[in-house]
Amino acid sequence: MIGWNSFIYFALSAIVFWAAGAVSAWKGASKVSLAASSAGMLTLCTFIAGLWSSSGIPPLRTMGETRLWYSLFLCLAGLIVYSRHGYRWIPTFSTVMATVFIFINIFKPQIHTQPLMPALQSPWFAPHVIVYMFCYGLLGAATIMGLYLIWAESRKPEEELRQMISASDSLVRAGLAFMTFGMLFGALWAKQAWGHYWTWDPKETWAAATWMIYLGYLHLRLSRPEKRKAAVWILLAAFLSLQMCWWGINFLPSAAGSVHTY
Amino acid sequence: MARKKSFTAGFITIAALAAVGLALQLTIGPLDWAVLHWPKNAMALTAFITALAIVSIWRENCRAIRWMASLDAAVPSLLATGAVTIIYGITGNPSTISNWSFVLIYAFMTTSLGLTCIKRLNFKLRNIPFLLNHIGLFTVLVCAALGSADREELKMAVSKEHPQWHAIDDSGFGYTPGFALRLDNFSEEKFISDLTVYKPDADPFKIKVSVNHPHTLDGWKIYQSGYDSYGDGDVSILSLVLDPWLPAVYAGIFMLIAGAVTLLLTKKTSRK
Repeated sequence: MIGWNSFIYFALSAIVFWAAGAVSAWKGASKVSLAASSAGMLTLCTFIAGLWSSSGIPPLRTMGETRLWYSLFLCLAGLIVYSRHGYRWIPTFSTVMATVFIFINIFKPQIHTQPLMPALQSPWFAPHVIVYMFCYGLLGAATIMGLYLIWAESRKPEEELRQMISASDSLVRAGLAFMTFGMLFGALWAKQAWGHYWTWDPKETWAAATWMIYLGYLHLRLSRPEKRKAAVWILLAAFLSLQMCWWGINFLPSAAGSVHTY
Repeated sequence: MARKKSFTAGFITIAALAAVGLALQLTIGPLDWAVLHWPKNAMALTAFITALAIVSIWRENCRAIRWMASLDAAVPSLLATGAVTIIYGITGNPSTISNWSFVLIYAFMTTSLGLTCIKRLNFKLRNIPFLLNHIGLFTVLVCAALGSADREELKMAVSKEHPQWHAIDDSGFGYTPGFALRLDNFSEEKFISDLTVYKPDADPFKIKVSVNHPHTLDGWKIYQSGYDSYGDGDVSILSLVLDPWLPAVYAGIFMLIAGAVTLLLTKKTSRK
């Protein structure tokens, strides 16, 4: 019987695998990195499957169980982005994030049995949150590129600037894909829980605005690649909007009734 | 083509739409989405798509139409849509979706999107990501907006005393959905209503409704919405939702999800 008392063994071996994956990505050994990350996921999967079979119900009911799925899918998302786009920092990012949630489970065992409020007891909850974390990670990286581009505009050769913004385009494309998943998983979940897929809840409204501005960035890059400065400013504006969506709305009086404030 | 590209026309159009919207708002008042109920919304949808198709015939001869179906219109319209949505986000005023300026700017973006879909309507493999993303968004926007008038949401308060045949909408009008519900038991811990369903022409039967697990009955989806306990009586508040346009909106949502998958799996496309 696999239960929470054996979690630490699975957790630590998963972290070791993921760390190995992160290190080998920096060294350019992408196949080793993918294999190690997959092995880490398999380890965690085994634990989740064991927990599922010993309790008989899908492990989606407590805070602790949700954190397990966070760790698992963060790695899966990292695996997909890394295998497709090859950013060396991605396995490190997903390893750090996944490890944070593993440590929360190790150091706060009380969450293992702490039930989620009924609205959050849904198979949509973990995917909804995880894809958004990934979206934040990728768009955060694109923003750093943008800030660097502002500094580098008059200091670096044209060729390097072009490469930088092209990298930012790829990050925005991947980040926007994850944002689309997050928003639409949220819509499907909202229909299931509250009866409507879109209610212009403050979080939804800001998410829609952010989505449109990133789309504006991508379409500007397609139509007039020479307007680099304008594109970078839109990129920064979009990130500000994303911050409002993420935590800024908690300070807006108009958002007091949001279903996203718990 | 040595045409000088510019977003100025787009931003001028948006300023004009905002002004026209303001004038409409002050003269005829806010847009009443509810007037677009069936079959008017289906007629509006047919008319809109037909108009987009007809207008597209002259695309190569008319600069304005060519512009509407181009990135030169897409970029300003996306940024303007983002901007008016931010204004909505800041004010939080729910009447924003009935504000003409807001609606016209969204409609401009949707029209540009629709014309672009028609322009790029070919089913070669490499065009599929484009079609999923763009037709998906067009479907979601148009069907969600036009379908909203047909959506009904009723509240029904059920108790253990007797079967409840009546429900009310948010303006307090009473309805009878054609079945009655009686509360058998409510689990406060898990937020589950055990209910018995009564219909005029059938034997009573039992259903369960809880948060995240609605029950479908005669086209209505029944949701657990709230709960009240006073004295020895329990009252469970249920939401009854009818949304005939949901399949169309979901078709758009699943196209967008599939489109996002292709966005993730394909490399950046460069434009000719």
